[in-house]
Amino acid sequence: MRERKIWNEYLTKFTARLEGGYLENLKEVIRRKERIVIKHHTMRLKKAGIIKISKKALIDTFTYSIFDLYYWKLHKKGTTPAEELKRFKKTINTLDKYLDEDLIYYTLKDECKHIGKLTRKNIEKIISTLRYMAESIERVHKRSLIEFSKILRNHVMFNVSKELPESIFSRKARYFGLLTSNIVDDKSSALEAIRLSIACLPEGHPYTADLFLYLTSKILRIWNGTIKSQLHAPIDSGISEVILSLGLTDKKLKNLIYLSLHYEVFQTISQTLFPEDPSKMIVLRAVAERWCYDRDWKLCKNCWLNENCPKEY
Amino acid sequence: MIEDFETRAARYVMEWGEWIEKLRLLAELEIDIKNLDIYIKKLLDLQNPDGGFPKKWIKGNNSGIIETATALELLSKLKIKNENTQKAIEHLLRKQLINGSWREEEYIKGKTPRTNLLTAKVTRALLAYNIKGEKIRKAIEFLVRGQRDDGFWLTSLNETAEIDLEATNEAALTLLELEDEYLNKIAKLGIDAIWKWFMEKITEEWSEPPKEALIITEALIRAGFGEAEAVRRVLQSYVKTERWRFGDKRSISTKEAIKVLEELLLANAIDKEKIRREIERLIFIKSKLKELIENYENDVRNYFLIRFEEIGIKPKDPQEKILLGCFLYSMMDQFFWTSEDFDPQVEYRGIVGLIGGVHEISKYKEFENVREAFFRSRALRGIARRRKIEVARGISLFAEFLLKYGPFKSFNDFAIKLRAYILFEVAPKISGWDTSYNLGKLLRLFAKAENSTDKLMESVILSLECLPAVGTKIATLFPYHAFWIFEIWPEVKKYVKCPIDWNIVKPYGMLELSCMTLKELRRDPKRASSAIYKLAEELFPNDPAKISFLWIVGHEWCTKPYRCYGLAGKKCWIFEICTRGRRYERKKNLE
Repeated sequence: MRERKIWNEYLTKFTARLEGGYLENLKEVIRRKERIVIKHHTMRLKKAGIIKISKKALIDTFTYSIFDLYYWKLHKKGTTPAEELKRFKKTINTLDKYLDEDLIYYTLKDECKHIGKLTRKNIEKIISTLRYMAESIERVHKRSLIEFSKILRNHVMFNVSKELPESIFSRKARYFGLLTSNIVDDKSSALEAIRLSIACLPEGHPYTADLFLYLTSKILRIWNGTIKSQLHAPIDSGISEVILSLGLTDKKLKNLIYLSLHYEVFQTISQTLFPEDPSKMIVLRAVAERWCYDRDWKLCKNCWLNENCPKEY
Repeated sequence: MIEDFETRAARYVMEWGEWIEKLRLLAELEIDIKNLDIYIKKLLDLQNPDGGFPKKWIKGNNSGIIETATALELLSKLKIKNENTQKAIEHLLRKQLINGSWREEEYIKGKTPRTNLLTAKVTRALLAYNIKGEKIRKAIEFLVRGQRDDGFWLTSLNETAEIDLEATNEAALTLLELEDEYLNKIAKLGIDAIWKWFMEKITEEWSEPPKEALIITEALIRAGFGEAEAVRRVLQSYVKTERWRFGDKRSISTKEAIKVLEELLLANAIDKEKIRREIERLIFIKSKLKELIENYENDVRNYFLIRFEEIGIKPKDPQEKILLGCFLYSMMDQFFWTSEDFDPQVEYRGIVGLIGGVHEISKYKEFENVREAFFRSRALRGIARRRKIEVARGISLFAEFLLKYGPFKSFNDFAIKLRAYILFEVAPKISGWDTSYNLGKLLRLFAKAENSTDKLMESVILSLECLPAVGTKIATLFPYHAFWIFEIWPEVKKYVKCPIDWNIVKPYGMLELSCMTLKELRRDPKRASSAIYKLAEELFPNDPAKISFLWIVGHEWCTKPYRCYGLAGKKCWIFEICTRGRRYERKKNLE
């Protein structure tokens, strides 16, 4: 039923293009440009000081993924998440310091130029999210995705669930339920458990979870073994606008919370185009950043996808 | 159909309002104090040992200044003067700050303390008891000091504070009550400021008056502006606006409704007598209903026990047999809509005949056994295949639980084991958006290790709702059957709720306790559920499920029109208070 709704209401144009073979060129360009995007992300992480594979790298990457949620806000102010993280890391330079909420608060307020100017409510959410994640990472002993996901799942299920305020919990109760149902026994369920666990955290956004998994598995290669085909492509408002311009969806995808209909539409597109590695769609984020989104006019002339874009915005 | 505004409004407040709101209205109407016993007792029971009344009216909370002042004002309206009022007065006087003001002790994050409003309210409450002296003088001085040159009062004395219309209204009213020329002059200045603000707003086009209008009209009316065209327009708009039709809870908040009624009564814009008549009628019906329910208490339980005995479940049967029997019977109840002559008793017997008696729990544990029986049952032919499979799964999972963890030493043992069973054994086997939500809530209760009886009852309901094909109704029906009728664990009776369906809603509507019409209630009976639960809590705080008396009335009489009229109707338990019964009597007398 839900799948039928996805295909009938959101993907009619996509189906037509796919069947007509019009998307082959687009796929090719995305495949080619992915290497640049990977390099680009590696540079960003380096700039933020995330180099060595360690527990610290894990929590820093997670912090970067949270900061990247505010990319468009920071971009307007002339800064980037990587720069903000670098400032943040000047003080919060060990895993233990992530457990000190007051220290994080004052670091965000005093060191970070713009993240510290978010509303108090948002900052409090970021702080508690970082603390919960740091508490889980502290217990990890192996570079195993399954072990990490089991630890995170248990921590979220039995500790976070009782500590969250009622107002936040009532919005997240479904994710807690899904997390309880999801038993970790292989890589696929481990990834799902990580996504759900992050969705349960106060500042848990699917974009954060997907970006975190993308960075840790494809850029930093923290986890042993390959999990490419089970990764989800991160989606935010920028990517949503690009796929609308490309004519891949009939309507703009606005509700991007985890497991919402719009989120699933995007995952369906990604998995149909790149079943071997849906996260390749992150290339569209680079397109959004450089040419397509959040600017006075679109710079289509230089865009990677110019030739394949019907410009349906 | 309920015609006039007064009747509708009175019924609305009495149906949906909190007990404190009801008391406010009843005090305003000067209803005989004998009829207010329940509410006054509830109010006085709440009083903390320090003399204050608890915050948010929740027993055990710290004393709140605003709550104590409100309670004192209410008690003064009811002309009650006793030890309780004395203690409350002493509490307020004790809490006064050196500068003469009052302020809540606990700082609420992000909220500016409204010192002026609080001081005005407390002073007014104390003046109602004719308290005089140094402390009152200081409070009045504080209020006078707090007024701005333009006549308004701010939220506090802080320079950055904003204009507070409610504080201005309250402060002006307080000063008006004092017979002092200078203070009255200051009050007039405040009222002029309100009036100016009001006239500016009134020139704007409204679909309905702004909320601020409601806050300040009291001061305007008391200051003699009640007859002014602008004020009249505001008051009339409440009576005429569509939103104030008092349909159901969604239309307006009862807090707002009370405020409007108070102001309309103050301005003599509505008929006080009509409201009083309606409220007295409601109080009479409720007290009569309580009496009837108490008289028929044993009959209600026996009525259900006989039904269960007919299907082979008796109170002396083993615990697991009763639990499984009640669960199966509750599950059958969800198919009542399959055909008009669907009888859960007959179908229950049919299913048990196919699977085996409920004492043989292992047979119910086998999913295939149960599934087959449901597919072979004649009455369930019209039901979707998927639904039948879900019901069969639900039953087999519950049977597995009983087999694995029974017998249970106590309710706590049962609830804790059921919660753990659902979370760790059933959760991986179930899916669905709503189920996940319930599972999440259940997980929180588990993680918090909530083991008080009320929380465990909540856990039981949530656990049941996680099973396939079990919705809110079945999850309420099962504890009702197992814990209230069979009294497996009598200590939990207090927490059992009565299941709500048309059978209980119809007599509730027939007694004209609801502001919704029968037609509206018929469309969605569940809309009345919270009102019925409220009524049950009010009448029987220690055993609210007693209200199921109405379910039998509905099932035996109201929903069977041929039994509701004539001589058969006279046997109805609520005949003497029911509108239909009264109509019949009247008709007979005329003949």
